[in-house]
Amino acid sequence: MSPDKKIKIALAGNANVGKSVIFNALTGLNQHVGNWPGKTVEIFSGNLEFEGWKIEIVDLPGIYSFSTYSIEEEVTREFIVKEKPDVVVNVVDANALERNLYFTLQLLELTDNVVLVLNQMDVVAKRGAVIDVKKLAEILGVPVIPAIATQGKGLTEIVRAAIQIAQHGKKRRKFLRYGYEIEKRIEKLAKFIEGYGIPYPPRFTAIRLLEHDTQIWSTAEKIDRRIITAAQILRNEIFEIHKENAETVLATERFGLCASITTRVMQRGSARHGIAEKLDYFTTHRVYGYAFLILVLSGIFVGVFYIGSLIAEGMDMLFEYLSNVYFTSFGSSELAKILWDGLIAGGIGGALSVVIPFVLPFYIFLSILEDSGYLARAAFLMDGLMHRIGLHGKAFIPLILGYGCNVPACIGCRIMETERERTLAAFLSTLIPCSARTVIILGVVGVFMGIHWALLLYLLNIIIVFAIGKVASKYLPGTGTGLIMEIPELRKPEMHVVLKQSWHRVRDFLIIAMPIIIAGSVIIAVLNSLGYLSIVNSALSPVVVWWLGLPAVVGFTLIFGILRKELTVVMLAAFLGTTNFASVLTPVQMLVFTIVVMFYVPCIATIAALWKELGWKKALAITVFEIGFALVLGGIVFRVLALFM
Amino acid sequence: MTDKENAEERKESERVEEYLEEIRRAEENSEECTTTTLAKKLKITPASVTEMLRKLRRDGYIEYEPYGDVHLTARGRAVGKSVLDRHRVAEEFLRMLGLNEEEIHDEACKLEHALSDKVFLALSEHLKELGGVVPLSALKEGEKGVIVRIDTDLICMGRGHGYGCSENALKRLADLGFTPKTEVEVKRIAPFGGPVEVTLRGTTVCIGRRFAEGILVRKTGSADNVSR
Repeated sequence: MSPDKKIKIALAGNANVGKSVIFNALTGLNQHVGNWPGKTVEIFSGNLEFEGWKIEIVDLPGIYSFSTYSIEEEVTREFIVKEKPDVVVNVVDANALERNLYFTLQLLELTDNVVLVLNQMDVVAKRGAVIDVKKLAEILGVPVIPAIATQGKGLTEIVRAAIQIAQHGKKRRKFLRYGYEIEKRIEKLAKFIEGYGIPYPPRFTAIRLLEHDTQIWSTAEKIDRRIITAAQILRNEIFEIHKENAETVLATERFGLCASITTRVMQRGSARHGIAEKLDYFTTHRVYGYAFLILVLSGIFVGVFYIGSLIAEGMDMLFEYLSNVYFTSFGSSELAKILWDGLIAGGIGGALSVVIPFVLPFYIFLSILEDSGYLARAAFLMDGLMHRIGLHGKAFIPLILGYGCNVPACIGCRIMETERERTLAAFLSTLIPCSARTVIILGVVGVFMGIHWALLLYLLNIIIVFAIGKVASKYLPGTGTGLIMEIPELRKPEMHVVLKQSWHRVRDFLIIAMPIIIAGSVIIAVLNSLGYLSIVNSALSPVVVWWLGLPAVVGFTLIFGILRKELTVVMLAAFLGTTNFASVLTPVQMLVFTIVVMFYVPCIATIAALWKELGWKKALAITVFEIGFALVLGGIVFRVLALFM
Repeated sequence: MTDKENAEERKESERVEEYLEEIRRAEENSEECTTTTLAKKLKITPASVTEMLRKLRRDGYIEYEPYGDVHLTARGRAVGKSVLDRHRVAEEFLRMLGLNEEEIHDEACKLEHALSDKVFLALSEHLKELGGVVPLSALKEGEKGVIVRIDTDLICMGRGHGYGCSENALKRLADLGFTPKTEVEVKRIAPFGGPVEVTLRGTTVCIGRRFAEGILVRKTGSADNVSR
């Protein structure tokens, strides 16, 4: 194969337009995830062999514009400019052509090598609308391909058109013009900045500067302050003419172009009615909506716990069986013990026993909610409440996920737009008692003190999460953002998309958490077999015994709990020599122990997830804070309760 | 000066205003503005348009080359803008009086020259109150409006630590289609001071309540009225 038969295609477009469906259809399972350097945005890429061509396809995150409002937008722009894909395939939802074209016009300012894909043409037809594809191609000066991605229609044509462009390096001669007053100033500024070595095309840069794109603004400022001065003068002139900010004027004019293009190429059909519309009404209703939300959430909890505990039981049996086989064939030497307890059962088994029963089902449910468009509606309903803790509606999702497992909750915080909100949401979701902590709350307090005490602890938890959220949102730098979110139409989720998405997420998690859990388990197994247990206990005893008023043996269970919280109860029973905690622990001790476990530190897999999402500094800060907080709270509760009980 | 001369002069200045208004309208809408387009809009022959344009250029109201685009100077813009504003206020006033749409434009053209600054300001204030310019958050479910402007101050004012005020969030509103003259329909209002779900440009977007408080719209009636 000749080396020049290799091309790179990037897929770009709004969220919810079927971009990923096209990506998956083109690349199959042949894909990998990478992170853009220094950012938490995932970029999927995959390979395709087509008529002798070796094609690398990159799926860029879904965005609405190049305003650098979010990391995704910045990453998309930098990818197109720095990685220089041969072709950018812009996928648009043909049913929302006008809004989608807004991004297309900006994209065409950045690069000429674009193929426009009109996706969801089946829905267009169903609504009786007609789009003149040829005319659209003529107006924009790029190939336009109609497609129905979910049925695989139009895919070959997309690839052919992309190859065509990659081969001939199409130069578009025409570009769409803004109004005279704006256009004049764009040209002026573009001419001025030529030769300054700004890494973007001059016209694109000029437009972005007039729109006061904060990043390009500061890039230009570093190169030469005069660029900024010139841009500011022109911005002021535009304000003089239109009595509006230049960015508003440009957005208005760009949308004006979109609207006029749309009217020229599209005959609108009838408005939509039917099941989707009715469901939409129902799911956002001020009474039924919340009822449905509660139903969905409890359905997921019950589903995950039910499925999860079934699988977990099966896995326990499997590991028990394996352990018998292992110890009969390798003997029960110290080394064999360390290998089994640390590496196999503790590490690999430990990671899998969280992931397979609990995380995977959660991911599948989450994907279904996401793909069907319901998640956006839940965020809509919860926005009002979430604002009280400095977050907006979307943060509701990770917080709820936290009750299942903190790990997907942290990863789920990606849906938040700004670093500040990601941090706050991830932090709060690690304070939510996950299923492992539920085992402790119910198994210790619930069983030996009564269910009302357990419920009281949950209530305490919610109050504390709200209080910490309120305080943290005040002290975190930056300001809160209001909710601005597209509400996609409700649709039936595609099972193959859901499963693939879940699989990628699980794999992602295993790569991150597995090594850490294994290393931790091995270290503890070694400490245990070397007899350092009592040393650990006596080292911790000032805190455990004096401050928290707990028996010294609890010290080691707390350390172990960092690995796997659900096992703290088992270990506690082992160390205390009984499962009847009421015979060895006072009610105050049980409460203090449970409160400390509830808050003291997310498990190691969660720390790993925090590390991945927020960086090690914030992961460390959150961990240290939570240990400190749990200990302080535990000590105070011990002293206060000692007065009454 | 005789009465006749006086009337002549007034007529002349009205004609100047008429031209500047039309050129400004084209500028606002970012439309092309040439001798031909002006002739068509003002229903006058291209020859007399050319003659008038020469005069306007001489008086420093516009810049233009024969057969080229016509552009306002700062001076011309000031006049054009003020006439256009008066025209709009007059139109709105007449509409409230119940005149039908065909009459309104022509009648407003006559009125616009007669409004003094004082009357214009009083009228526009009065109309703003009566004419249904309200924040988007005041619309009920199913009601429609056209965006008049996005008031940054209203969104940012007295909001503790700058809720939602970031420049980027306001840009995001524009990127999703919240620009002046866009028609929006309120689909849903979430309880507990929650967000507002709005359809615009063929898509559905939900925005926090405080954004909705700062987006000023002119009510255009409910969805039912329009479809009927």
